[in-house]
Amino acid sequence: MTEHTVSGPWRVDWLAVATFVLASLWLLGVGSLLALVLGRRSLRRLRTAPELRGRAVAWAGITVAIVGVALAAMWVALVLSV
Amino acid sequence: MEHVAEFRAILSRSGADPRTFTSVEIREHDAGRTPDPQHGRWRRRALFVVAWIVLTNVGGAVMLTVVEHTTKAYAIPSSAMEPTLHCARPAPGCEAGTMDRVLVLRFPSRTPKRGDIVVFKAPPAALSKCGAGGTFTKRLVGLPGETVTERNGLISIDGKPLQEPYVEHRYEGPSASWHVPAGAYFVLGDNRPQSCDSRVWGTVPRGNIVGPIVARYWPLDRIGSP
Repeated sequence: MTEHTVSGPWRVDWLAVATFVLASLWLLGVGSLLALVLGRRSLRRLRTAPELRGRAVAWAGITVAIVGVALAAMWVALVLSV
Repeated sequence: MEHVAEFRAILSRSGADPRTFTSVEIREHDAGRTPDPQHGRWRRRALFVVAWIVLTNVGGAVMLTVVEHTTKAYAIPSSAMEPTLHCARPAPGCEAGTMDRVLVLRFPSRTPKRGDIVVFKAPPAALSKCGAGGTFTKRLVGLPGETVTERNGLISIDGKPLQEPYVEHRYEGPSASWHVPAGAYFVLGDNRPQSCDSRVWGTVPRGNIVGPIVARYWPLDRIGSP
């Protein structure tokens, strides 16, 4: 009996990475909004493409993006108050 | 590789995630048994949670650093801006038990206007004449090119009186007049007798101004525009 430690060929979903990067950059909330859109598409793709990985990256990006949208809303309120 | 492809197909049919499988699952297959699709599930979930926590922290830290470049928080340690901005007792002249905390907008940068409460890097003269330097908070009163006059505690700009409803304590000393050079601003504390400001150490260059205070966020019962 042979013991294998193998996994199929895989690659990281660039949409998940883009989600994470855009959410981290914030870009006054624009990055956060784009990250939410890309994150949703990424998760959908990750469900159907077995060779893609990055679910945690996508979810981390979406989490940071949600906080970013809230901060952006506060920032807009501050700008309008000046 | 044929072996792996076959195993992959079995996993796929059994409903398991075909992206990852363990050596135990392969051993099951080699022994002629159908691999348990639940095997390794908790390990994969734990890996997901750990990766999610780490990445969320990293991304959050990066984002907060970026946010910090647009808005910045400050505390009010002195009574120079009383009663508009409170410092905390027992410091002299303070009217509150808790010092106010404020938010300064650093971006978008805009031309300061009269009446703004601004945070700025104090000129070196402040340290020698007031005994304190660093970052100050004052109200912007005189614009570039104007002449500011203080007489009987009342301020006038180019000879016209300035209405200042925010000033409760006025300075009753001798009259004086100052000219504001181009590219600089004349700033005063609302607590005139207690404030060491442009009357003492001169004007503030535009480049020294961090930004206007846009909100008071602490204590909670004082949230709002100062």
